[in-house]
Amino acid sequence: MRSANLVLAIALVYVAVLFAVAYAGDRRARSGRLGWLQSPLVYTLSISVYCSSWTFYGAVGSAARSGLEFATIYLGPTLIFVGWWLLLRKLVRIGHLNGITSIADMISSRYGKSAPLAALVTLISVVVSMPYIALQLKAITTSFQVVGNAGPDPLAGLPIAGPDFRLGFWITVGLAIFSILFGTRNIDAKEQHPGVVAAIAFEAVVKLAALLVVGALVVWGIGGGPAAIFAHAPAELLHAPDAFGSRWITTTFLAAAAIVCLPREFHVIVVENSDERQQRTASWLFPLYLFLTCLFIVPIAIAGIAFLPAGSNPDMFVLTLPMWAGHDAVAMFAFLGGFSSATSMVIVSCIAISTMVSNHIVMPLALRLNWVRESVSGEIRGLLMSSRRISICVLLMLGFLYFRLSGSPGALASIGLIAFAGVAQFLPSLVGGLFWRHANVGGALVGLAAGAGLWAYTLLLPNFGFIVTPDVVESGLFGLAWLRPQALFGLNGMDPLVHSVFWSLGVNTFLFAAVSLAREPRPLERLQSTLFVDVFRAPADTASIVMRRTAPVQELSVLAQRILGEYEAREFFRQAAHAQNLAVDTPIADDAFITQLERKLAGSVGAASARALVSQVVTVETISLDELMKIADETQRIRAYSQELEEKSRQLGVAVERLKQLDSQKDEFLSQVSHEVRTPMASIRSFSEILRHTPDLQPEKAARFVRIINEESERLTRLLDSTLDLNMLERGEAPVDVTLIDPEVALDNSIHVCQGLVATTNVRLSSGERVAGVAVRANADRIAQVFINLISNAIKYNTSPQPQVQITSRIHDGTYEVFISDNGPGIRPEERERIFSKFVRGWAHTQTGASGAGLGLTISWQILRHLGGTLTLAENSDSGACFRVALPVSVR
Amino acid sequence: MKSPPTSGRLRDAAALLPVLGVALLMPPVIRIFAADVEFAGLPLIVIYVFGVWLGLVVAAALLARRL
Repeated sequence: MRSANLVLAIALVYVAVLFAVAYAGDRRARSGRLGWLQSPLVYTLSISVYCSSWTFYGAVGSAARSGLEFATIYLGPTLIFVGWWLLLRKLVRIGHLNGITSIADMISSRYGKSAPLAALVTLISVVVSMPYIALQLKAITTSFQVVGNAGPDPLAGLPIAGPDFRLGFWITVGLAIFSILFGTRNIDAKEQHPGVVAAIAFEAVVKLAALLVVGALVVWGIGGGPAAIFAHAPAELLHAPDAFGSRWITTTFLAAAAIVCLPREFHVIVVENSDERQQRTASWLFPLYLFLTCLFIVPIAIAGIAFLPAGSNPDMFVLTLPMWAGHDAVAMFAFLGGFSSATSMVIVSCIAISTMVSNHIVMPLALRLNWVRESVSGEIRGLLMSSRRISICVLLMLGFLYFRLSGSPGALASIGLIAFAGVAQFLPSLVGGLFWRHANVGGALVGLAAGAGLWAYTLLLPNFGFIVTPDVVESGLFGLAWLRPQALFGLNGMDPLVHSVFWSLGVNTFLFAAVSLAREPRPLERLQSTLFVDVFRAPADTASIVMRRTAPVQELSVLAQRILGEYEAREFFRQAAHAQNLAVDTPIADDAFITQLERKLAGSVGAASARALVSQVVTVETISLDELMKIADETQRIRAYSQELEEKSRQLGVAVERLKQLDSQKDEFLSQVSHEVRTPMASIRSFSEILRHTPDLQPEKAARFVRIINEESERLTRLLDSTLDLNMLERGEAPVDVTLIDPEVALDNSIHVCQGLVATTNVRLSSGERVAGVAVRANADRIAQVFINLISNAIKYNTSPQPQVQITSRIHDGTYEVFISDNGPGIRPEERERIFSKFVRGWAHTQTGASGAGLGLTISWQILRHLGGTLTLAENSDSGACFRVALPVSVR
Repeated sequence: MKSPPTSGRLRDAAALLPVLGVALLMPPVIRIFAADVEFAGLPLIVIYVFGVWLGLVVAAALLARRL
């Protein structure tokens, strides 16, 4: 039993419930118990204001006309939300830190708080939202008439009499009242509306539930299961040849752009956000909401085509299918769902755009034209409040007029996409501003203006024939064919939407980049750029570090009272004074305080107006570019510093390794020295004990023992001398007087000394080829020490039956070389590496009985090192060892 | 839940998830699934689009919990 009156009654009850929810939400927020109002679930549901009546009714219409394309409108936002870490997180963080009130405020703040830019964004938003709001009004009115049985053929979804504008008008009035009541109750520091959020979250549940109920009814109640429904699908619907071409990409892109650029979406995502936790949940919950919303769209569209009379309006299938099936309750629920989706969109859009209009158009005009009297407390506040209320009314009336004039504009989906393409013009400035340091206000203004102009010409005009004559679309402006809106510059054969997006966004992006590059940014732009691009890195007080301002605190106080109202301004000043540890209620107007106050005012009037207001009071202002550069270079510096640390730690690692090695060498050395000392000590002790305890020892024996003790003591002394010598050489403390000497003289002396050793053996010591007249810088004694050591080793350890030692010298490549070779057992290959180390006896395997401390070669090696020469073991041919002493020849 | 060694990789994964989504849902990949094939009475393309969609939701939920 549907009748217009019953429908009206139900709608009014529903509206009353909405008012109650909004009122309860507001009351809760006022008493400070935000609780569930700030839950991630409510936040997510409020974002679903994205799904307007275009979704509720239009998605099915779109699916019936062009298959899966409707899904792109929801896939775009899904991609943005699952990638929240990249874009949304940064957007929301900046919004919080800068007290951003709208998308216009965001863009203008980024570009040096530019007032013209804010006004341009606001203007574009108003133009875009007019047809969009008209679309919602049309959807509510039509659905009301359809479900209320007005018109002879309600099932067709097209009341013959046309839309009932009287009804439309009253709906408009109702929406205006709601928006004003809950959207402009207070001018807050943060532009948040808990009551509205509660109401739209409630509506979000209603619209999703309604769509799911209708979907379930269609699939299982009417269609007999999913497979049965899809069996009815026209072949062309899901398998159109060009379904996944440029239009698929374009609509996905536009939807992705719209989820951040639509003023109402920006409002619920950024401005109404209270913490990052909400975003974390919304990153998957909102895509899930969209997924569920879309789940039954295709089946409903197929069922509508299959079961409803030919020529029925696909945009009303959601409503007419339950009616056709005789489920009046479901149809009523569907009507409420559609009503919810349309009203929530209109309300949030009105609030967001009226805030922009009042902050970025009315306020700058009022300041310029001196509409507000000086020093009247709350004057500006009152102006803002009334301008917001008036702009809500004007906006809705414009929407209504649009709806009235255009009669029945095209399909819901096409109007929606026109709006999307319009707001997508914000994208280059918005995203470019978040990630590109050099983007500046010139680029943003020029790009935005050109993009919006092209969008209006190529997409808006051709779709609204009541504004221009059709022949402009047919043959171009002034009859110029290359100016045809849908084939600009002769670009033919493209889908009109793709064509428009290509030109408008292409030119927009190009000009944005080109003008940004061509122009040097002003200091304030640079500061804002750093604050936005480096929001996660720059210190929180960057603005007050860089900006130096002075202002009389009295005038600041007056200014604050004009905007915030007397009570809140006092409270703000009192808290600031408290934070500065002052006993009085008036804070010192330092840089930090002025920045804090400007930010607070920006929360009410937007960044551009707040700056203009504060600038009126400020007497001196400088922006320190040096400080700014420092902060901008912070990242760079941190990176450089960490590299430096890495290098240092690597060096430390190397040093530690070396120290460990040296430590173990020292331990080894000590244990070897002890070992070397122990053997002679043991014999000295045992022989001296025998002498002490055996008084009647034979004199010859006693004399032999004393001789052994004496020999062992000498050996001990030699060992200790060598150790000390080596120690001093290693530490570079050995006093070596270096003079110009003839090394051949030292060599001859050494050979002479060693002749004594030879006398007791049968070793043949011979000199080979020798040079003459050489001079090297060295110490004669030390050099002789080396030669004697090498020659005596060669003699002592020679086990050959016919032992020979040969000494030769020569000059080779400016180096004086002495070779001392023998025909003894030689050095075993495995010993060659460490022959010059301490206590290594290269001839230990020779069993000659001759013993040394194992320090001689080490000492010789050290001596030569000190003199700038080398001691090496030459690669000898067959048998024996050959040592090579090399010293650089000195020029006389 | 936050463990320093993995959070860097998780962050990268969170940043790359939409890229994966774009690759799967845009031509040419999506054209592979546009063939006129049915599974249990449902067109393949419908199953594919909604399947990828649900997959993205699940992946985002898992990431959001651990990020």
